[in-house]
Amino acid sequence: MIQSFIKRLFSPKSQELVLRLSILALVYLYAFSIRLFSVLRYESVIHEFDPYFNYRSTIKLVTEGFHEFWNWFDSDSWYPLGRVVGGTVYPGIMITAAAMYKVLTSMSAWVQLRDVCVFTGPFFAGNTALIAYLFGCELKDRGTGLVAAALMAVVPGYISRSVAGSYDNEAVAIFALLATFYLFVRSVRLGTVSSAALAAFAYLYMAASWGAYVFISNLIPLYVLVMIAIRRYHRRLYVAYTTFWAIGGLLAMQVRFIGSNHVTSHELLSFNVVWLGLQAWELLMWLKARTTTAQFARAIGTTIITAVGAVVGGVVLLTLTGKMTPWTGRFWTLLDPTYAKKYIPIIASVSEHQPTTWSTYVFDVHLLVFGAPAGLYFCFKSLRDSQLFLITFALTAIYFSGIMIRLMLVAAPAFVLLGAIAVSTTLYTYTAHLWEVEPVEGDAAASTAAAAAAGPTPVKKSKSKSASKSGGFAPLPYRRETAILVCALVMFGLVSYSRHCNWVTSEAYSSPSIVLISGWGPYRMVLDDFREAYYWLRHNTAPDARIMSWWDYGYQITSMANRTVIVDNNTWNNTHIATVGRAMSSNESAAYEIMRQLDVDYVLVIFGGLSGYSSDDINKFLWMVRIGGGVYKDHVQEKDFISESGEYTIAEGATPTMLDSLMYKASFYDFGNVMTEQSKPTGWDRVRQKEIARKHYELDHIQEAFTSEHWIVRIFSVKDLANRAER
Amino acid sequence: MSRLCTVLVLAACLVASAAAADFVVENASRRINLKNTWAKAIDTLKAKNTGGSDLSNFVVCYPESIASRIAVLKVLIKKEKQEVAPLQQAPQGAPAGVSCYQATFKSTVKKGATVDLDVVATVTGVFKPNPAKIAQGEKQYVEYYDNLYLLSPYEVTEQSSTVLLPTSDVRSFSPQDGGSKSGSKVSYAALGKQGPWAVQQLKVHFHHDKPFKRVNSLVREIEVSHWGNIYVEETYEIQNAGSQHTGKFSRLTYAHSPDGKTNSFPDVKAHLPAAAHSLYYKDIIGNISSSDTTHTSRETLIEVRLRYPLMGGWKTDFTLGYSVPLEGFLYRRPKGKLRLLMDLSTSFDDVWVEQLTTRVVLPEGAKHIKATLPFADIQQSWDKKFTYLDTAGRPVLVLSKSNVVPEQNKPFAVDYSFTFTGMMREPLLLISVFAAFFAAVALYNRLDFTITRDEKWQEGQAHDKALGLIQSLTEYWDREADVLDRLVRLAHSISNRPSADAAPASRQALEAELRPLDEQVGHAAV
Repeated sequence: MIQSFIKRLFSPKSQELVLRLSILALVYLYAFSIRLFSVLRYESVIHEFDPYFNYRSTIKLVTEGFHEFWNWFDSDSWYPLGRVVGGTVYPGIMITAAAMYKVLTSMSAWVQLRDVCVFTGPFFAGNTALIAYLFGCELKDRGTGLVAAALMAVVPGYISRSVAGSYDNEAVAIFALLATFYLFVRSVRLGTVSSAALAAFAYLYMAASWGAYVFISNLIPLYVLVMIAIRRYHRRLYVAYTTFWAIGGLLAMQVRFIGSNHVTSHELLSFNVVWLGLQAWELLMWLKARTTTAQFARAIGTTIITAVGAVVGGVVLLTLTGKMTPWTGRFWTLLDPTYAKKYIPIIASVSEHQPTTWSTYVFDVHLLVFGAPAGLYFCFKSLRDSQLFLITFALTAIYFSGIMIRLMLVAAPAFVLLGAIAVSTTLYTYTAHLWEVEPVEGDAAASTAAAAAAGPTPVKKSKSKSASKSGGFAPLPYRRETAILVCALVMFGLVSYSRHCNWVTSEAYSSPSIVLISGWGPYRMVLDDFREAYYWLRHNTAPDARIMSWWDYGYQITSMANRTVIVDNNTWNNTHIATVGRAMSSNESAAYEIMRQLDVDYVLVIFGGLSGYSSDDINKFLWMVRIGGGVYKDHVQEKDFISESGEYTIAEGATPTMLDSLMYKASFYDFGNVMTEQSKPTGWDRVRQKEIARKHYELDHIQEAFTSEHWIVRIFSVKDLANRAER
Repeated sequence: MSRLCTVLVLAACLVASAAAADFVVENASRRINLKNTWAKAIDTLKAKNTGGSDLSNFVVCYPESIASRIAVLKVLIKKEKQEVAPLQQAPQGAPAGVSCYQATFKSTVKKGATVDLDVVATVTGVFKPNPAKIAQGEKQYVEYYDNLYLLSPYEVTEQSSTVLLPTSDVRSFSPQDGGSKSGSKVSYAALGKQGPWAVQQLKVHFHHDKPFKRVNSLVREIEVSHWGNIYVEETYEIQNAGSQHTGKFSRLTYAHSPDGKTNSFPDVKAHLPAAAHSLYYKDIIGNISSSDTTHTSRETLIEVRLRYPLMGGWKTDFTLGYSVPLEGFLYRRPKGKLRLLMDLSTSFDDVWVEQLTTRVVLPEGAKHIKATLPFADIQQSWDKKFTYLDTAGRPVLVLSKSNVVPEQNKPFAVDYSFTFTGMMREPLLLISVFAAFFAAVALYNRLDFTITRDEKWQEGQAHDKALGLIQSLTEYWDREADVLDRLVRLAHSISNRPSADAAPASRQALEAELRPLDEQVGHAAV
């Protein structure tokens, strides 16, 4: 018995299983641990801006329960409007983290909620790698799956949003996106209702997590159309799509933020219209089978024209009567990259909405830039339904990623899968030649590097097979040497990919951005100014104090300082943001009036002139002017802030409007008395590398209430109205 | 607690009987030390028993404003502490607003004998800022109120009072008569003979150059793990209790002018045990990146820099945590008992704590827990805490006390019993959970859980299959009939010439359509 057990243990099948499982486990570990740079280097803390909102919502969800969260009206933001958070949020990540927290605590692992949130990203990165494995298996074979998992685990495009602490929608959304695609492709292969229903549930998770669910619900209809166009349409696709449409649509509508938009929005028009089209097509097929050709030919023309006319007319009518919502600005931007710049400065002002440069591609996917075309070639060569899906997905995703940096995230899995196919096919082809003693035509059964390394058995098999199959072709010379060279090249590529990913993660994506560290070793300087100032607000201002700052810092203030803000990162009301932009760009007394109207108690500005922190408010100021000017054309004009020589400056030559603006006065208050660098005059701005133009002035309506240690955060209290002078 | 009550009741009875005039204080010298951020009044008394019997009780009194803020009250005879308990009721003849305490001597004072007493009161929070608000750069002035004379139920023959101040900058003091200021000292040398309950307000208004570091609340949690560690976590809310800051806060002035820091403080220092390790310093939004520790053989000195400097009235909170090994803190006692010996309060310098809560978390399964406490006014209660792998929760002994000064950071002991099996509970739990998991997996792999495919199932399968076959056959036949029908119509249409020419082609097409259908019917039949 023991002998048979040992025999089984060392059989190629179990060895392959052990090898495969251990590779997957290692990939999972790698995916998890590469994302821990920030925790090791800094601490277990939530990063950046949006994650703070997610964290705050998760606290609400855990402490007050799902019902309270679902119906949450947040009066601490968008004062005095407030925000219906329950109805305007994608709750996927919060529910995920809260569920993980509850499960852990119920298993008597009493972790802190913050740690759960911090590690949600890495955890889901591991899961995404596993999904990539399954997808790879579905696309080609297990070897491709393993390569896909390994590539996915470290692709920098995805790491950027899933490092520990980056508690953002995208961390779980990419997982959901890939899972939906994988399950849908699988259901197209199987053609069963149950497999399509599974895909629909993955779609629900995606819809609950990220606004890019629209990508799925446009890509899948597109895929269906492509399948029809190249005459690959079959009943399994019909079953998969119809089931997915019905169940997925119903489920997605349960997310409050989506609701009936799933039916009425133009963004999802193709999703619904393709479904209608498929029904019509099937109806026609059914009719065709039951009528004579002549009857059918007579009926079909009129039917098609009436049906198309009815659908188009219906959509137009519903849109005109306001029952359907047309495309939003963000969507237009995707089709016309210049749209945002022209019409919606607030979208254009976000750095992650900028067009992608080529260097970003190399930075974010590295080797896969070259792997993807090869992968496309291999896909076309052996076109399967699943590979056709990948082609559709990849081409659209790569197009979109060129428009917005942020959508690199969606393109990253496509790059990974294409790259995996390229790498695995290449290795598959050449490893077969590696063990050839004499040059014989090969058509190996050994699938990948992994399987090839598993033992001598598959090699023997391949030899016998190749011997039997090799026929009239004369063997090419140096096959073995070429194989070794190609494999070495691929290995080199993979190693450099992995090294690049490590480097990028460590250098670019692991800074929490609320703590800044400059220098290292004994010269290490920690700039913890943001938290210093937010904590000051939390403890030393009235609990209902209202803080006016640029919208970037809204989430951080509500979360860390627990105070009310006028605007925040959920930029739902452009006018309100423009009002703040107008206040910041007006002179002090005009700004005072606006601030009085908004009941503002404190003004908070970010200033880098002393510390050299470059993403400060003065550098963002032009956007405030543009956004403010977009709404208040008579009051704020960009040209007033541009000097005669045509530059945007705070130094000699700055316009009087600039020097009088609240932003200038708040940022540079007292700065004229400071020596920042040796052999430079006082008031030397270290970010702009210029001496400021206006140095000594007093503030009339606001006063400095707090400035952090390195002057990065400056908070000014808004004074009460002065007593009326006695006569 | 009940013991304290009995003492109080007893004391009250005693006082009612004891006439207040049994002692005469022959000499009283008061030294009120205001150099620190709390006041320390040391009364050195020489008392003579003029009564008709031996006495063992002595009554000391303070104005209510001071008595309510007394943190420590000690009555010493030759540096030996005597028992002191508050009196419920002031003795007869006492003016309004006076609180008294009774000291019970260890040995009685014989009739006609004299005794030398030191009465030491540490009083917190008695400095009243005047002006209450100051701008950045202004000096902090405070007022201190006390009774000029020894407030006593006894006659005082001779007395003097001295107030020691932190600076020589004194705005005013009253009464002026009999008082003199020299340097940072205001003294009333000869106050002469006074009867019982002599009252005159003493007021000093002076510059206090030290920041007032008040810990509004401190929660210490001491968690014992028998695997070799004691975790200590202290959560502070700390406030600058001096003159309130008003107007603007200029970082430039703060950083660069000598007087810009006014009465603020940027840090606090703590003396942790030398064995302390794994220190952390954070608040609810994360680590606080600036602090400094120095290890010496005697202690671990940690300089805790707050997130921001605390100007007057500003507050902040933070959590400081560390671990110490069991050695030196947990001792084995006879009969398998254990004794935990830890400090009660904070190890920070220069702070006083308004509300102290010390939570002692003992391992799950600890029994017969009993605390030995250094002060009578500590309240005890119980709680439960769940941490990793706890099922029933750990017993928590909660000790709370208000108004604590650093000198009260005394050790306290908790005795309890804990068995070895209790210690093995958690590893065993983990082992059994994993063992159960693997066993379940092994079992699952070896057993067949598919629903039995009995005859009925087979029959149903066959039935379904047959139904499907019949359906597809019907479909094929329908289509075949359709093609045949069209063939027939084609045959009929060969009456006119053009269609006769086209007929062979159409026939071929229709036959081609027919052939796969035949094949499919054949397949279906198989």
